[in-house]
Amino acid sequence: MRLLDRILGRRRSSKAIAKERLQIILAHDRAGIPPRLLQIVKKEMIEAVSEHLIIDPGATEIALKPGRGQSLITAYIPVIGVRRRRVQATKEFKDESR
Amino acid sequence: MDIQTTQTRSRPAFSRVITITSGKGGVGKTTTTANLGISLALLGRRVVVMDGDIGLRNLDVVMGLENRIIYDVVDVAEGYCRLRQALIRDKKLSELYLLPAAQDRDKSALTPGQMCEICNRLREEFDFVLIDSPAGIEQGFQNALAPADEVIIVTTPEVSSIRDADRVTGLIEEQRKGPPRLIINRINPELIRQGEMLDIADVLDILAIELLGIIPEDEKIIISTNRGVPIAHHNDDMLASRAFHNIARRILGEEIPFLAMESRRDNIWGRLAKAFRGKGQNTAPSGRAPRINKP
Repeated sequence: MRLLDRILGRRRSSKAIAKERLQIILAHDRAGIPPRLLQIVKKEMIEAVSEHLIIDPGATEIALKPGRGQSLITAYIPVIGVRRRRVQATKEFKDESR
Repeated sequence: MDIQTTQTRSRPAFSRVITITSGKGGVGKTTTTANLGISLALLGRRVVVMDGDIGLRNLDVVMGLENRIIYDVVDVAEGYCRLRQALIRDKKLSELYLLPAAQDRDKSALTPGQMCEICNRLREEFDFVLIDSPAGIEQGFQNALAPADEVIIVTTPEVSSIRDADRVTGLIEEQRKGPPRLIINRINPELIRQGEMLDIADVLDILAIELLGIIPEDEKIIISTNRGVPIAHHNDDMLASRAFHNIARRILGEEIPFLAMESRRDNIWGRLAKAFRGKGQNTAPSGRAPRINKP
């Protein structure tokens, strides 16, 4: 919807912005997770994935959302490729286990 | 105090203590309490509205009874007067009474136990005890919540008051006083039409509690408050007055459809433009939605 608005050059309604902000605020409030803690979790998630995969940090989106029954961490992490040394390590691991 | 007639009456078979709260201040708790008290009394129920905001009392002003206060709820709790001496009868409705808060004390002047004790005595003579909770989630709120059988949350369609309504919903459920029901106040149909205000469906989607009523933003509410004659005293041709009467009837268990709030510009062209933009409005789901549990 946001993309569609952008394509059509429409200003997003303040109602849509309000709803989106509220959903994020309430996800934090209900889960008792302060924004700073989520920052740490995000950083460590990106680090963990980056260990093995090359990702696009600019397009990565990790967010806390109110889900059914509990809050939900959603991650949108575009993968560009596999880290070479990791491919090597995987081969070594397979060789060893053989 | 003209409450002698009440002694001859039989004790209500089933009286209800309802606390009206919001978390955030300034969303219309006191106005709502006064108007619901009037609406229930107009429907023939015996009602007492109780100001829970010790130190910042206002329910007396909204009801236009500020000049009649002699004793207050703290005087009752401390034994300086009898309960019936502190009750002030409404100017227009003989079945409606106000129990004012103390103005020169603070929230710690009462305990939850004293609140329950006073409410239990009121239950013997009244069908409804409506408690106007103070803003916040501290002792004043806890005092107002303690005697409640039911809780009504008032919110406006704004981010800050919805956030606080959600927080308060959590606290009410922790105390096993829930699930609360919701009144959405100060709805502006024109802003909703323009997509610049959260609509009823949005608010219910976010808060996931049962809707009890919707009240339009209406300058007549301000005017009637200035006069000290709340709008529910007027008849149903005023939309805001009808909104309060409808809520009172829902409290009594009647099934009343929610007000259709159309903006003045909701003519055929407005509707076409709305359809073209693909924005829905005037949707008011009424079912009880399951609340998201806290982990």
